[in-house]
Amino acid sequence: MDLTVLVPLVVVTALVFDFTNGFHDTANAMATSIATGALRPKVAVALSAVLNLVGAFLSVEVAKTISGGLVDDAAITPEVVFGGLIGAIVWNLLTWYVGLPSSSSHALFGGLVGATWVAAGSDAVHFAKLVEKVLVPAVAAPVVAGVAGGIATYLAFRITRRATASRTPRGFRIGQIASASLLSLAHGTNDAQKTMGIITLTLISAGSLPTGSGPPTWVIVSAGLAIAAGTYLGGWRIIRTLGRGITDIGAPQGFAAQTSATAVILTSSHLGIALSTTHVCSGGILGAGLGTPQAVVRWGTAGRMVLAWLITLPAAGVAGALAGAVAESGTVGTIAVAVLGAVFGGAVFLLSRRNAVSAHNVNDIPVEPVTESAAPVAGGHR
Amino acid sequence: MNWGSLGEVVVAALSTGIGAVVLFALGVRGWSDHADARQAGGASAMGLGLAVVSFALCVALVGVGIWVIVAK
Repeated sequence: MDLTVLVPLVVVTALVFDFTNGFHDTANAMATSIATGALRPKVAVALSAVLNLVGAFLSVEVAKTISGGLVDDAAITPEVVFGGLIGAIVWNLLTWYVGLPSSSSHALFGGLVGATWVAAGSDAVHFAKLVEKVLVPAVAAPVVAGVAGGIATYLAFRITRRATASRTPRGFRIGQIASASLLSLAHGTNDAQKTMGIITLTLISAGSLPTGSGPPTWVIVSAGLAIAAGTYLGGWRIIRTLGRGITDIGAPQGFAAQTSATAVILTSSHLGIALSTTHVCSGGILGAGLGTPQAVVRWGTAGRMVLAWLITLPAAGVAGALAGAVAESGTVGTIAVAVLGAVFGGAVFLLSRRNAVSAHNVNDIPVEPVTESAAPVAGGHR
Repeated sequence: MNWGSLGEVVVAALSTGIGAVVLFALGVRGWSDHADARQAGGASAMGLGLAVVSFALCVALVGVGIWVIVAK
């Protein structure tokens, strides 16, 4: 296909992915703050959007490979990147529609692996790296965050059990705002740069930029704005699931889940093993529920969430493979994929209007009834 | 797979995750004790001290967090 058409198409698709990444991941930083009332819903998403935008400008250490070494980068063409991005967007929209938090990074990796496999064969996929960089961290992240969130919640309750009940929640809510802000900043730095890296490397491969170039200013600005706009849109469905669907969150649990997740993410990132923000935050919330005396944990919702994590990589891979295969067939195929992708996105949006979740009803009781140990959270620290 | 590095990350992440929450909870407890004492017409130097030290360490942790983000 003519690169003058394909490259702009890849750039726009990468920005659309960035946008879906933003609204898919707002919940990671803000779900517990919204659930406990530490921040009003609109204020929470606005704060998160601004910090994501700031984060995008904090570092220009963009990804040096599109796939992070999961596939042979020599096999990656603009058509493969396009197919991979479409696969990731499709999966992000589907999981958003059903309100399930799943990793946008894993969706992107899955899409790229699928599209590369179809274009260059299975030899171009580095399965050992896939296990090391995706599968093992995918298991480790929620377990570590869950254990940290559970123990932290238990200790927070123990330490404050003799404190005046009216003062404790206020203190924890203030702490929540700080940890949620820190997480939003880190998210903007990490995830906006992923898109910047994809666009920059696509421009280099097309000869629009010299090899070894950093991202041009327009790429930094557009990636930052796309993720911030997506974040501001809110992703209310996933916010409801994380904030209300897994467990009943009071201020101590919300603070413990949020802060332990933030600490786990920053520590692991600093030590060189990047754990999925989504998995860490969800694991932290589940752990906080388990660490609460007489806790209510909705295992049905938690089970669906884990299932979504397990199938994210293969599902996005299949979607990416299909999109990549059609895009590889030529100009008509690429345009057909773009049109089908836009129609799919529009259809999901229209379907979502039938049972809209917004800032006004995000804290309503989840659909799934509580069936076990339905006693209220102890201690009055709500 | 470098299991040693992963183990290091797990231990460090668990320590900081739990440590940060415990520190803040101690601050809340200290502040609550101090406020209760003031309401009763007295003062709780220990509560105030615990709150100040704990919250100061939490602010320092936030600073470290921002440094980790910016220094990437």
